[in-house]
Amino acid sequence: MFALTIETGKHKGRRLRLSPGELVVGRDEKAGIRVASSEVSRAHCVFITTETGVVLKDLGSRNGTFVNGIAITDERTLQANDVIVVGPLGFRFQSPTSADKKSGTSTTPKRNDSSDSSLSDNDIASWLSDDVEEGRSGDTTIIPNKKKDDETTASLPAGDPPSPVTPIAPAATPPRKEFKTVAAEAADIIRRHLESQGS
Amino acid sequence: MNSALSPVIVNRVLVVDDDRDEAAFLKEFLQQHKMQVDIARDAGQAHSAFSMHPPDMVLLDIMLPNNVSGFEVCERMKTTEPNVPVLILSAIELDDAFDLAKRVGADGYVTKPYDPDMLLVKIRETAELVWQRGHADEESVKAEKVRFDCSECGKRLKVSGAHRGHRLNCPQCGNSLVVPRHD
Repeated sequence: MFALTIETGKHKGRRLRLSPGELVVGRDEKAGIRVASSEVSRAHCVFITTETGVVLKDLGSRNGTFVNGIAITDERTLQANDVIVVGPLGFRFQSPTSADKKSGTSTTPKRNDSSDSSLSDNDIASWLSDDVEEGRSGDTTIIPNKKKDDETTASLPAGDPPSPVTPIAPAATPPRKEFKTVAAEAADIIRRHLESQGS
Repeated sequence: MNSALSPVIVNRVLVVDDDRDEAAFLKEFLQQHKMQVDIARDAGQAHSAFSMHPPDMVLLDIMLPNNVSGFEVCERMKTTEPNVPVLILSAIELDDAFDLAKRVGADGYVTKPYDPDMLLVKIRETAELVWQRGHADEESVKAEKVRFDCSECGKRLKVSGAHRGHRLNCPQCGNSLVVPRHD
């Protein structure tokens, strides 16, 4: 499975799994990886992941998308260990063969997800925003250290053998919560209460 | 603040309950203890009474008619007037109900059937607690850290006390959460 390793900021070393599909990086709320930085365009670039490889495409960003220090003008197929720079962020591209082979071009499709599959896009977005928004007055405080306790797989080194984990949905549809409103949750509680009374 | 010397006086109580017998019993009982009681039978009446005659205490049932539960009533009351204590009176004894009550800002939860004298104690305790919280200085509120778990994925979160009652998305699973108003 293809992945990106964060190379900058306090989340350095974390891995982001690339699911098949498109993952947009940008300032826009709809972006899969949201980066709250003025150096990043609303829709900056997109990772297009297929079973055979990952193509990085610049979406006409103002400040450019860089692979190994060179601005890409249109799109480019990523090779193992390519370094991608988007505004203040740096990523390193990992492909399944990058650990044991030197080339990432002839990767074989693998259906197994790597063991960090429990990470959601919201997670990713908040890590990244944290990196670039020092001292923002947001609602959320992230506790990265705690998280490592909970999920020891979060920052595994690259090239770990994929384990048979149930694949999660592609990047475009992060897992949604069960209850959207207090009303829905209340209705569920009342229903369960009435059921327990009835039985 | 020594609570024994300066008890918070609960004068006007709003009872929100669609069960007429229950409401009538509470009214009589609380009147015996020198409280003035208004009764609301559903969410709409509760909000009208709450805004027209702000009570010193709300006793709130969960299962109300017209598909609006006490949780939503509580959430709205706490949004408009966080310093009016809300005590939930319900037959529901599920942990999720206690948890949700906390998240919508309820200051206490009493399960039915209850001992009326215990209820009276609980009313006074809750009023005292809310009064003290309302008069805590702002600095200590800001410095305070609220720790709670995401109800969906169990992620442990820690935010500033200034965010109590605000809504946020869990950074791990995206679940929409309300920072508990109190622990």
